[in-house]
Amino acid sequence: MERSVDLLQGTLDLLILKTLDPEPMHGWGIAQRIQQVSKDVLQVQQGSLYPALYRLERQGWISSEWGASENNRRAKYYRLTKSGRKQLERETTHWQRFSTAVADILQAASS
Amino acid sequence: MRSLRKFGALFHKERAEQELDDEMRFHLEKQIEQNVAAGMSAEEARYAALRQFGPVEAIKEECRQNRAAYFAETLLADLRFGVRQLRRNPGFTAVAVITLALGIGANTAMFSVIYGVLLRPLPYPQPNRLVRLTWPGGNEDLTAEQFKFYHDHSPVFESTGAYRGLSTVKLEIGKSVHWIRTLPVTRGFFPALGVNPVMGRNFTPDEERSGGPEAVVLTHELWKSAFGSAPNALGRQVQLADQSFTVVGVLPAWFKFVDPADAFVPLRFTGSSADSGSNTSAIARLKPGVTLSKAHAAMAIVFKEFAGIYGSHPGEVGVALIPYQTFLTGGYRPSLLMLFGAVGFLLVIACANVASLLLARSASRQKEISVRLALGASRLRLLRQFFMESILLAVAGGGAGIVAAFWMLNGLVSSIPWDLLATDRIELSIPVLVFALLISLASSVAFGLASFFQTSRLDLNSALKEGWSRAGGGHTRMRKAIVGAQLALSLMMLIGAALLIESLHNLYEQPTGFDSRSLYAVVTPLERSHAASVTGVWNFDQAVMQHMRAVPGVKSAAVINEMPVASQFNIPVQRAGHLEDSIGAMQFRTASPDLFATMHVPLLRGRTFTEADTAASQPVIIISESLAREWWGSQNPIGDQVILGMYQGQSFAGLTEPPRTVVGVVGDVRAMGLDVPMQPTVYIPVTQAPGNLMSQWMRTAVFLVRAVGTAGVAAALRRAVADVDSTQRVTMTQPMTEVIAGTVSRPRFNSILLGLFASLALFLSALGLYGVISYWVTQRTHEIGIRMALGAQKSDILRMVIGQGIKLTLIGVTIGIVGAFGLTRFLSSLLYGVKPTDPLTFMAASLALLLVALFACFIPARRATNVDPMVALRWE
Amino acid sequence: MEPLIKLEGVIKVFATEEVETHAIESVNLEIQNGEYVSISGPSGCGKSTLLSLIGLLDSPTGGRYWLKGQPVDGLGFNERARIRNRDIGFIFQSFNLIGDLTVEENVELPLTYRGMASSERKRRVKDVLERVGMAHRMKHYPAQLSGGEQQRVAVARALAGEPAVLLADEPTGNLDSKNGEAVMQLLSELHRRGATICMVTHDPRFAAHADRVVHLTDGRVTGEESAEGKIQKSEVGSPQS
Repeated sequence: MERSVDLLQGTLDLLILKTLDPEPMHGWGIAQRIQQVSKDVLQVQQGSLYPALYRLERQGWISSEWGASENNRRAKYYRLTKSGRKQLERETTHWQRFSTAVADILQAASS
Repeated sequence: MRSLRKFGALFHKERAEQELDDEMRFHLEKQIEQNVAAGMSAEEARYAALRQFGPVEAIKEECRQNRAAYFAETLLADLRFGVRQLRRNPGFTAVAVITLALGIGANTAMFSVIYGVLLRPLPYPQPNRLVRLTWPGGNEDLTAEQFKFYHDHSPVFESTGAYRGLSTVKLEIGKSVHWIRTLPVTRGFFPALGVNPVMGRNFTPDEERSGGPEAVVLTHELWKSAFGSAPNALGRQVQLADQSFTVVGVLPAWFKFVDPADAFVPLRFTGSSADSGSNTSAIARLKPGVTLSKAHAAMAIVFKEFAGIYGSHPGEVGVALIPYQTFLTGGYRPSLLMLFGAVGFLLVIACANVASLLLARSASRQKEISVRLALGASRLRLLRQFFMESILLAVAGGGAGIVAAFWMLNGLVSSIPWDLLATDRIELSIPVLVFALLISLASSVAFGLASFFQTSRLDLNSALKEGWSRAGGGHTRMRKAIVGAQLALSLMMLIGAALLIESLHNLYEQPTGFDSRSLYAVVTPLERSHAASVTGVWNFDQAVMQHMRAVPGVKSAAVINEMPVASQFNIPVQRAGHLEDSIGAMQFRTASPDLFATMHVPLLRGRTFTEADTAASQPVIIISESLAREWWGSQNPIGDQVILGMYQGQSFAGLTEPPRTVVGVVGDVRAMGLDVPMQPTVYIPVTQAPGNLMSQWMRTAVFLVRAVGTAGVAAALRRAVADVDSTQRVTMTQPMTEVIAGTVSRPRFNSILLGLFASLALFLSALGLYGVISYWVTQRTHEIGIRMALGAQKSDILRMVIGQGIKLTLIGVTIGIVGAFGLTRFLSSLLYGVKPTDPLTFMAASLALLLVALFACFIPARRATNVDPMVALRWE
Repeated sequence: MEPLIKLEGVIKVFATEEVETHAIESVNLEIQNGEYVSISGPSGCGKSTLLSLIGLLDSPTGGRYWLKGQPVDGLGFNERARIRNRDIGFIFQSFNLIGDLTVEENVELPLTYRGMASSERKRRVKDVLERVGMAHRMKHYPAQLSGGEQQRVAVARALAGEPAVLLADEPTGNLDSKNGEAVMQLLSELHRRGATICMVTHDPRFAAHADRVVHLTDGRVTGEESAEGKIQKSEVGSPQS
């Protein structure tokens, strides 16, 4: 299912899907991971992560369940679904094409 | 699976909320821990975490909206709000639901009838292959010759069957006696309808032969009621009309025929007079794959062959095949469609009333709506909320409507004046309920949209500021338009009803040719013991009449073979020596001497019958005025001669009679149906009836009795018959006026129903008008106060308010009259003696509407005059 | 000379189920022909109620009322309506023009209730609208006019029937000071030409336009002063001796 989403939202979705690719995580963990990996370049408000998670869950790309966290507290874990993985692939190629194109234009403009 | 989860989420909304809370709290706690770990104080860590997280409540709301079950949850909220709204205004809700229930109920009931008799396939296998065979251009039945020829020679019919009229006969099984109705049918009758006996068999060719063994096939119901469903009923010998019959078959329980027969006997073509008339009803089943037009073409060739061999009757030009359902329903289709149209109008009017009510209410709810819009409710959400209320109303109205339909249907079905194939097919079946649901939803959309458009035009800002005083204008305009349309529709219905009632009145006003007041009719189907010979009949007749004359109050009694106005019997008759003076279907009656005196039919020339007219004396005949005029003009027919059973020199009806001498001319009497013109009629004395035809011609005796004082006369007359022969049944004892009324039961049914619907429509429209004018007055209380301060008298105020209503009504009347001009021509087949555009009827109906409108406006107008100018002026 | 208006011991009590409110307590008042009287007092003192009683919009609970020498207390609705129509011209604080009617029709309204011929009505309407300087706006609707213009039209409507007395209830209350002053000038002008005016106002500046100011407090006349010099009446709140 192709959905036209604005850049920021689309980017956030992609990042979440990518983050969940190796293993299930809870919301805080996802926020931390995105922050670490992007080396604090992408400073999003942590809260805005959650509406995105709910939206992705409704799309069926991720699923959630309650489990025990590191220090044995109840936390909601999100995992990538099958269709979510496909979506991730699609989005990734899409993004790469897009960023290459942008990079090309920037290069052309600066030279 | 997913929708299931959604459904579950709906009921676990509380839990979902809890989980949302937990998830956020978990996140914040983790963040606080991290912040503390980074060296912040507890409080600093807390504030930092919240800052990093963002606005918690807003995020939660966004999460909720993204949640899978969000749509369903808000829908539930809208639903709850809708229910609360309706419960908070019980008066409004009750009026709206009752109004809708009336409209939906009437439509559902009417549709049940339409569906049951017009749309639903006949209850036979492959009913679309069933056709009725008639003469072209009419519903006239075939002659026996025609039927037999078509039966034997048609290449397009799988099977062909014939039947004749029902007779009521006595069934004796051992000692038990039942009165049942039998229908004579040919062997092809059952296969044509696609029915096989569940027990036993159909008739054999031998049983169809004249003088063959007598056999009877029972309906399932008779088998149950008279034979106790005994399996050994087959082969039983029973007495039917004093003759021995063998039970050969039992039909399946589902089988029903339009003539309500309890049992079937073989129809035999014996070559008797009965076979020469066009009195053989024929049905046929087309071979598979044969279309109607193909069948028509084939039958045209068959008819040519037939005409080549037998010659053809005058006017006999071919054979018509009519799909059986069309044939059965043709008689009442226009009435039913007309009534269906009327209830459709009624529903529109009812919906308009509810829309008008909703508009009035949405006017008072503008502030609430504006607040909702200001708080960011989308128009879509508002639309949904509006529709939720409309749908709730429609569902409640529809539910109540179905209950109402159930009640209406009972009354409707029992008063339907047509022979329907099976009234039990008229029921609240699934298609009918689907119909009810659809019209409920359609109406909710109709009035939901009306109120929504009204509010969507709302300018948010001005409504918030001055919503109360100014924004009412649009509502009022729209409501006025609705009321105008309602009044117009009501007028169309009123005009239709008035036309029908006038037709009915015209029918009643038709002269019958005799005095029906204080005249009683007693009908007895003659037992075989009496009907065996003319002498037997006459002896019985005389004995009964003698007993009747002895009843106190009875002035005179007479006997005739057919009920005046309500039934007919015709044979060919020719004037002796004048081939061109022939009438194929001459009304024919046998009469006792004092028939004319009893009925008060005037004797115009010559004499009536006397005791001296016996079987041995000169054969005599009395003719009606119209026949005298037709054949003799200004000459005197007395002494001239006519021949019964002769047409243009040919003998018909197995009758060879000597010429009869005309001894008298009497006034015309209506033969059958008040809407049928007077028909030429001949009368002969009962004593001189052709003996060989007794069994067909005088099966029933109709005693006409003039009596003063009504109390107990009917019962005494019945007893008079029983005194002569206690086994002789009396099927009817009725004042003649009631008999005549019975002949117009169909137009009366149409008039009553349309009149009822029109009255309902008028009532609802008046209610609508009342509502609008009341609202108008409420809105103008201030203005009325000003006018009073300036010196307006009560009459001035009254005139102003009523003027508003009348202006509206006149617009409705104008549209209604134009609409009625277009519509009433569809009624023309139901009208009698009045043109569809009769100006007087139009005027009278308009006047009636105007009067009701005047009354509806008068109440709010009165209230307007009681406005206290002080209060009105202070209210600023 | 017989006073145009004479109130004697007039009482007005508003009774609800629980309480009785004495809005007017035994008021005696005479207004002579051609006089310009202002009734003033704090809000809630009963001055509007008093004006309504004078204007026959309301009936007194007690006391007597003569208008042009005729007793008018205890008349029925339609008789009072006829007197309002012929002898009284109302000017309201909020103008009270009818929004659906044009200026011309508004002014014409009291005349139509009198059953006057159309041509005569038209002539009079034109005449009074000219007197208030609004003749050029005859075909306009009230909503198209400024507040000051609307009040001029209202004055014209009050004048159209050539009433015995003009009753003005805070005629400047809904106007800015400039327009308010203009309307007061108009009333003074009318008074100079002989009109009898009774005006309710709480604004002492406007009250000063009148020949005589009647002070009302808690439904009682608490004092009177004339323009020529303050004559403080002694019998405060008591019946005339």
